Amino acid sequence: MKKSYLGKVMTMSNKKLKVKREKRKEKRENLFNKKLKVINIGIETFAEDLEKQGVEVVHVDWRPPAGGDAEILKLLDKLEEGS
Amino acid sequence: MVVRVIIRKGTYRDSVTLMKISNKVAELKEVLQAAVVMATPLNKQLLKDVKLLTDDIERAGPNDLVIALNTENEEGMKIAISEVDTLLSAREYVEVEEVRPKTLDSALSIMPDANLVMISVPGNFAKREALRALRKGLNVFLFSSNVPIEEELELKKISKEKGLLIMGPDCGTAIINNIVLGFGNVVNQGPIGVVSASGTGLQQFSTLIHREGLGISQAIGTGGNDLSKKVGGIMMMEGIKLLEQDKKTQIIVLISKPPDVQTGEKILKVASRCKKPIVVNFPGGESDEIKKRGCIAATTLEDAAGIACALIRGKKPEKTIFTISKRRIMSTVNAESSKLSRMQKYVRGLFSGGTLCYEALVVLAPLIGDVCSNVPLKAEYKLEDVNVSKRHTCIDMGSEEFTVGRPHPMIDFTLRKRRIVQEAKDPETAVVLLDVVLGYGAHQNPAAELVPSIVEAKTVAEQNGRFLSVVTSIVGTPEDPQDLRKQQRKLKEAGVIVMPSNAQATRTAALIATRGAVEEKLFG
Amino acid sequence: MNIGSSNIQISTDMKAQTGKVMMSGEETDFSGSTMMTHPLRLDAIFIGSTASRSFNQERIGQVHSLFKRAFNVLTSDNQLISVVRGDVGKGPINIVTNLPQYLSMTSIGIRRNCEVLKVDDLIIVGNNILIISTKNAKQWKPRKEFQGNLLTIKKIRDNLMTVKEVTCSYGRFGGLGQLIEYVEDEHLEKFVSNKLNLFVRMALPHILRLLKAIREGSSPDIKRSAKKLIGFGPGLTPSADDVLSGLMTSLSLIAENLDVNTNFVSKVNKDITSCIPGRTTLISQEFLMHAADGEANEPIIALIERIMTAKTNEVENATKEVLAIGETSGTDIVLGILLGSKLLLDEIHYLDKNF
Repeated sequence: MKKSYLGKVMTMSNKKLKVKREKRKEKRENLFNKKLKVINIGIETFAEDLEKQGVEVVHVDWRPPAGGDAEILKLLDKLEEGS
Repeated sequence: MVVRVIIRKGTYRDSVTLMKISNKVAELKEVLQAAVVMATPLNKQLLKDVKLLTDDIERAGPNDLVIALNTENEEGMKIAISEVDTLLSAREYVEVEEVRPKTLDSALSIMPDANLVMISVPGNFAKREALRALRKGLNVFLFSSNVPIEEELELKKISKEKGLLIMGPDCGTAIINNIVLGFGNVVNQGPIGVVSASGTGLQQFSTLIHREGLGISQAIGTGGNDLSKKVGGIMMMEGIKLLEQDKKTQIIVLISKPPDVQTGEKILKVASRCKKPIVVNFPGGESDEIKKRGCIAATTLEDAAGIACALIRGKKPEKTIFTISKRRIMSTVNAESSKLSRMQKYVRGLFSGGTLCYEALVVLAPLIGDVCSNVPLKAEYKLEDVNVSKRHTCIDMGSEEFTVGRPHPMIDFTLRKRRIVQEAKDPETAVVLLDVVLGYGAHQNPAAELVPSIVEAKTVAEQNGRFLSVVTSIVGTPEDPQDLRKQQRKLKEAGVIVMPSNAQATRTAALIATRGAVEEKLFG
Repeated sequence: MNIGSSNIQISTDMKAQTGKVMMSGEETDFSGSTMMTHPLRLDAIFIGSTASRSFNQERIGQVHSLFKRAFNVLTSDNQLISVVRGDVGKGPINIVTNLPQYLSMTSIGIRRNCEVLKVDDLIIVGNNILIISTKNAKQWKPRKEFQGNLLTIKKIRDNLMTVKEVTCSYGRFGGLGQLIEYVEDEHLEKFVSNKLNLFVRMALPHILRLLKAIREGSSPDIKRSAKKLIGFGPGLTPSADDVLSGLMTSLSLIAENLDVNTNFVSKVNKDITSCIPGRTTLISQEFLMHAADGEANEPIIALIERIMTAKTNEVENATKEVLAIGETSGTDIVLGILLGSKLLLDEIHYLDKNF
């Protein structure tokens, strides 16, 4: 007798939710034995070294936010936390 | 019903972008229907069936991209076309900006499936960036140092809650999935897992494992302050749990300077419950406590490596004193020490790796007594002036007092070179003990940097009727970006004694400086 | 690697000066004399077997089309070569370069119709816009023989189920790939649903007829169905083409490795590809022709191989790799692979009798 593949037929919306949940779960799961995908913030040579090892990396050109002004920074953070 | 088409020849960007545009446009309330397809015969037929075919499309060929829009009226069409234009051109514009993203968010739009963020911004901005990353569900490698301890505690609590890894602050090295993060050496993957609060400690350990033919499953860096009283070893404990669950890890090794007492107890308690064997390298710490908890204590990094390998291979773990025959060691020692003048009697260690300096202090203590340092084992042996050695001295040149406003000594050898010559000028210096660290992040040719100063130093000694002995070990593997063999050769050619590990180099230095007097203490 | 962050700096400045980029239909123009004098230098890392065959003359051809991660070159003997960024992967017509992730092929100054020359081991695009060194490039040929031992038929079916499950969770269903949910033998025929997108509804009967025609070994019916599928569907490579590519590649490779009558499979693929001329895009044509010979980009070959030889989690990973191709292409290709695999597994004994 031929086997049936999937038990249920999912509707499109259920599927989208499931994908979202699974993707979030994946992030929380272990980093081990997964393909590393790195965002590098700060020293550029770290990104270069990762590239040399064949790792996908996006380098962020970091600058002190708010021009380094501590007062403005505090305000920005407050806004962010409140949102 | 108004139908208009936009035809693009030759520059298509990519399907994902087109799909996004197609979906966005279809959502516009003015748009009844939208289609984004290549103008192949069958697609043209489809467009005809849904009444989107125009003369332009008829004339188009299979390699032309068609964006066909159907709106209720002209007004709506104007809006729709303008929207498509904006989307098409805006993408390109944004792409140029995103070429060098300036924030985590814009980086995530380029790489939405990122799983690790490496942060090396100044310490006072580190928490902010790390927190952002954790909130997005990303693991963090936090290289930044000088992060207030309260902030470190906060970050680690949050990351523990979210089941994420935060390696650092002040974490210079890690190996995840056989990829080196930050500084570190290229080593084989294998069954030995590590959780380390020490960067160069991890480097020495992993390179020795590699040399033994085994490998590292994962090496989690916790940062230098993890085992302090306040932080309480959060990441080390998380690391132990993670490695316990990791199928590829058979043995877990913990590396750190001796932790605060309470923290040490907490960690050993977790370790005792672990199903996998745990080797603990807290040099200078209480090994009885470790044994009581069913773990294996290792005094040196080399011992830890030896024990780990023995366990994997089902052999009896043994301490390593030398991996070279006693006869050859003593022959080398005698050759060196016979050239010393009577006054020369002290060891002067100049280290780029903090843990290697620490290990040297621990190894030397039972052999030649307490050693002065900028980071001594006992407070009373702290140097008054860190720039002037007294008696036996080992200096951690990566420590703050040397690195303010300067690159780290693993990268910049200026201060160490000067100090080598300075020690040579001191008539009581017998041996200069060094560490040379290779791997990612390190200088591309340390030998080229050090050799001229070593030669100068030896010449200075010779001109004053003395002999300066120089002993080193190289932390590295043949797989590292630097050429290990060449480094060894260059150093040997300059008369340097190159030993296989930091511990062995330290013992050799002690033997030379004491003219073999500590031979019995060492070999029993 | 010093490859021209300076270039990007310049173009960003030009952007600020020239204001908003051009409208659709025209190509975005970053031209400025400064760009031209500093060529972007890249290294070729892998050169596909088909691509390297076009390297025997100095003038290779012209740039035919541009994509974010690739540009295509049309050679004088109508062969397409694809110069790609690393994340596209290895393939028979691909030249894989070390273009960094944060750069796009569309924004480095290359335009359609740029001349492409080969001088010694350098590929020169346009008037010194891009120079690619092939000095250290490795040749890449798609492998026909699977590495690893063939699994039992039962395990292979389990793997196919895994592929389907992973695709249902991670696939993108804007094209024909939507059919994957319903890949069950008997029910496919009876299935009609308004949940299916327009493309699927129109293509479904022809897909069913194609599968039937292959089972029966009816050459005219195969061609008739193929003519109703080639060039159909959304995507830069039309969705149905991707399904056919997946189908033909899996038929070819599985037949080869299971030692089933490979002549039969060759005939089927030939029948399908005989219908191509004039019906689809140039790049899709390339993929289809290669697929007929069991040649495809690396992740596709790897997936078919893993289905036949590997464990569940390897099959999962391989599936995800293919699903990441393009927008819906990956999902459509996987559908084709599932159809092809099932065809062969179910009908092995049956097919042998025909042709």
